[in-house]
Amino acid sequence: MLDAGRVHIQLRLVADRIAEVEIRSQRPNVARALRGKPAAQAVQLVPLIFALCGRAQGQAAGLALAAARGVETPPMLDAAIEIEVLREHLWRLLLDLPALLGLPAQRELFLKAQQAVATGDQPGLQTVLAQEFWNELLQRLDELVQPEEGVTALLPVMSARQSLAAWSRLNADIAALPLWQGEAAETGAYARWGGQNPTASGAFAARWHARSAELWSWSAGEQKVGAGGTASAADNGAGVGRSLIDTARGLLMHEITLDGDRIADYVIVAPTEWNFHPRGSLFDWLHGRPAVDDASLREFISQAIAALDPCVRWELEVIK
Amino acid sequence: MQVIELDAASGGAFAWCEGELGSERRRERLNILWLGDVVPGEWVYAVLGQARERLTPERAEEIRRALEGVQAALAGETQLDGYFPDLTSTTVR
Repeated sequence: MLDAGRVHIQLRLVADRIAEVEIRSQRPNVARALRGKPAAQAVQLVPLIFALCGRAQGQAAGLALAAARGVETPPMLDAAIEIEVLREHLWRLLLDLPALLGLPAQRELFLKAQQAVATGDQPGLQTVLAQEFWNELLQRLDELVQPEEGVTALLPVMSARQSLAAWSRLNADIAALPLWQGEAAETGAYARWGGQNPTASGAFAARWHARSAELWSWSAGEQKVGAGGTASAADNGAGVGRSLIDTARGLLMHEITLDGDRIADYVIVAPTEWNFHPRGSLFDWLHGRPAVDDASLREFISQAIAALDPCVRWELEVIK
Repeated sequence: MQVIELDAASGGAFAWCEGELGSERRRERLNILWLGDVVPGEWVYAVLGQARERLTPERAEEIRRALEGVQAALAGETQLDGYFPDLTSTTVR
């Protein structure tokens, strides 16, 4: 099958501590596959390759192409992407997280909540969010062994036009190792929520609470531009267009360079490259941490990775 | 991938599906909760162990060819036009 990429994490243990952390996000070279293609065809291929956020990827491609042709999109909440973001949050919170915490997956609640989101039924989602299960889930979260916040910055919410000041052009180096003001930064619901942690119980819980907060916000009709589902695009001159979309996992950027009606270059900067940067939050949480027994270490890493939520498979290698 | 049979033991959460890309044929147990339900014979788009989109058989074939084209391009092949016969206006949803 086509490999959409993977995150490889290598730890070296010395004297029962994590002495070295190497994080590599490996992605296919999409530009190579798209270069020279008719632009209209290329923007249809992209969501096939990166299908986990298919709607966001498809929209990012379309908006970037329009911007390359001079049609900009000011920041707006895209209802379809917003629904995709909320459904992703529900999947993570009701199916993935319970399993990580030793609780049964909440299939019935998930299906009810999905229905509510898909039909715009905000009170219906509130009813699901008010179920007793959430208290149990959040209590288990608070009991987790988890780190304090690290030093990694949070990527601010920005529009495509504002992003031009940070990166005049995107390129393969930025796509592989994105930096904000010269440093690694985290993106996603937690960053969009301004790094708030209502329980102060640790870094993992804070990220799950932020996903939950976006669900509550939507159910109360309080979502604003800047929340998950926000989209914008800017004309970067000379046949170059850039789009930004806030997906469930964080900021997604596409930049298309046209040569007539064909793709001259195509750069995608995905949230996973921010959140699994070699010196990002995962590094903060792991480096120097005691690693006395193997089971606890793997449990901790599973929780850390789930909190950051890569959009590709991950693999762990521990060297002793 | 095509849905072959529902995994009865999972209570409607998983289904066994099969698909091929290039010379590789794969059978996978997919979580189907994103779609709510599926029936054997139906085609779905699979990502990270999840069935994420219902597809017509024609659309499934179109996607299979396109993904083979991307794979060929990533492997260095340059003659790709045959892989992308006629991608229509709809993308994966």
